[in-house]
Amino acid sequence: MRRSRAVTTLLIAGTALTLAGCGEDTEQVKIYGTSEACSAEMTAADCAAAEAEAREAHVATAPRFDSLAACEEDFGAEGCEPVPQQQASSGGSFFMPAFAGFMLGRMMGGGGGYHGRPVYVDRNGYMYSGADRFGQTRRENVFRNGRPTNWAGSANVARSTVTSPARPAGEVSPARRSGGFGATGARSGYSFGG
Amino acid sequence: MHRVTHPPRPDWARRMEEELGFVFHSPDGTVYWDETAHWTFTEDEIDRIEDAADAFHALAIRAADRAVAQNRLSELGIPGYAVAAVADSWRRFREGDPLEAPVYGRLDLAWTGEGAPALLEYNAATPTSLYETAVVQWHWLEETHPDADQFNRLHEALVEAWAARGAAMAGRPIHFTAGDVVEDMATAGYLQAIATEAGLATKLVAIGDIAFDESDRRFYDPDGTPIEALFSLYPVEWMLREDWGVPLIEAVEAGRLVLFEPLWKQLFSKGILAFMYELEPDHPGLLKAGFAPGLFAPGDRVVAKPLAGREGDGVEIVTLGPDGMPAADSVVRQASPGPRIAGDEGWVYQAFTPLAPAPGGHAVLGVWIIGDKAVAMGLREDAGEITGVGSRFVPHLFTPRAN
Repeated sequence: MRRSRAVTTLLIAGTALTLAGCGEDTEQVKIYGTSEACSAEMTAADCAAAEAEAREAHVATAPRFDSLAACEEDFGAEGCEPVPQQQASSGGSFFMPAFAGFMLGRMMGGGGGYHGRPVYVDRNGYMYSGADRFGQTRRENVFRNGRPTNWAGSANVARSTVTSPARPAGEVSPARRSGGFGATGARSGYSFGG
Repeated sequence: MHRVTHPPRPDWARRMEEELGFVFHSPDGTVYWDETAHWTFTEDEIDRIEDAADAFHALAIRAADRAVAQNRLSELGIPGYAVAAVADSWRRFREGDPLEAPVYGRLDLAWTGEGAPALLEYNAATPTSLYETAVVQWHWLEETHPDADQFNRLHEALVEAWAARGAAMAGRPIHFTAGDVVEDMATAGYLQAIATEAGLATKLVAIGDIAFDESDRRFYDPDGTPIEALFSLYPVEWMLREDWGVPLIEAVEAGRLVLFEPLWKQLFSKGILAFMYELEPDHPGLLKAGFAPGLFAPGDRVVAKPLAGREGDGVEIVTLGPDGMPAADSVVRQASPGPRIAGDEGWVYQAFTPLAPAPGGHAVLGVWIIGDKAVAMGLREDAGEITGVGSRFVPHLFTPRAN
């Protein structure tokens, strides 16, 4: 007999296949520099709660740099701040990108209602949540005199971006970018195999 | 071999979606999985197919030895900057490095049941119809012909192939990637499930979601995890021509990235057919093939294939006129659903051979090679003479010898 005998394993594989075939969800999120900008569109209570949640996640999960210079190389002259004393490890990671604003959406975190995640902007205007780059904005609209301003925007972000605030808190380079593979097979809907 | 028609199982589509996760059986509303018929074989016929496939694979390995020894990798469409890395990968494989061993491939054979099965091509890096062969037609057989047999040890052989790499991977995770379409992500997910079953750590990521970090020259998944080993169902020869082709080669050469299939699978472009023919022109079932149409005579029917063509993309069947050039009114092309991608990398020319006739068209035998052994078969039917992305998958069975 040449045929497969692996009945059970095949059905398990089929289950995994269904999950893999679901694709990645995206959510339209709103991005605000401040609660004031947010409250023009949302309720003040939702804005304040989302910003507070984002600031808490910021301190816990922002990428760390061991010198101001290393951080500013990526995030610009006004784009960095010291890690609060109680959060800094004795090993010497002392700087992190400044909190430039927060994103607000429904799919982030547990429970219903709106949740917030911190947003960083590098010196080229690319926006990050954790280590994931999700969009670009004019940096001069974000920082005025080193302070985040009342800017606002929106973006489609992958669910994995907004549900995983706790990126590795190691050094993250904005030089990391996606999209360098896949252009040849940009025919939608058809298999790329042979 | 012959073809039997019958009604499909009632409610087959819903059941295969729910029970097997087979969600791409009818893309765009056209039939891909077709169980209104099946092909039957005798065990003697299966033996002949298996032996022919084993021999073609062995010949392809010798042809790659020849291409590397003669420094002729550019003839296979491999870009200049990748030639040294591909040759290194080949040498490591020939020295027994388990991470450079081949995982899988599919030989497309033309056979009518008479004479020797003929080799159309070797889809050695990103073959399609894996899940349909390993799981869907097996499920069909179990339900409809439980006493018959099927040339299909694909699932177990793949588990064994991944398990054999376990020690060399030493717990490092393998990322599986594919183009972001349902069929490819589902097939990559199936391969991932197999590797998981074999005890390896795995993760699935769409090709467009891979990130590259200029500062450490490494590739990352969307969770920020570095990619140390990558199994790509997205064609590597395309990756080599895209923005990060050079960093990809760099990372493999520096040992920062293990690539599956190994980089040497680039040798098995359609151009390998020309090297195989140079080596053994009298090999049974091996069609005349070369890099120049001048190999053929006026009146010959010739198939022109782009070296990196996929799913029939760019393939043309022509008859050569008295001047040795294709006669204009003789050209047969696949009605392609999208823009042609292949062709710029060069062409190989192969003698035409008839395929097994099926109602309204033809059938091609796809024989799966795992490691160096033929283990399974799937048949594709098409109304046209060129098997393409729209060709239907039809199940098969064989009658075991009485003994």
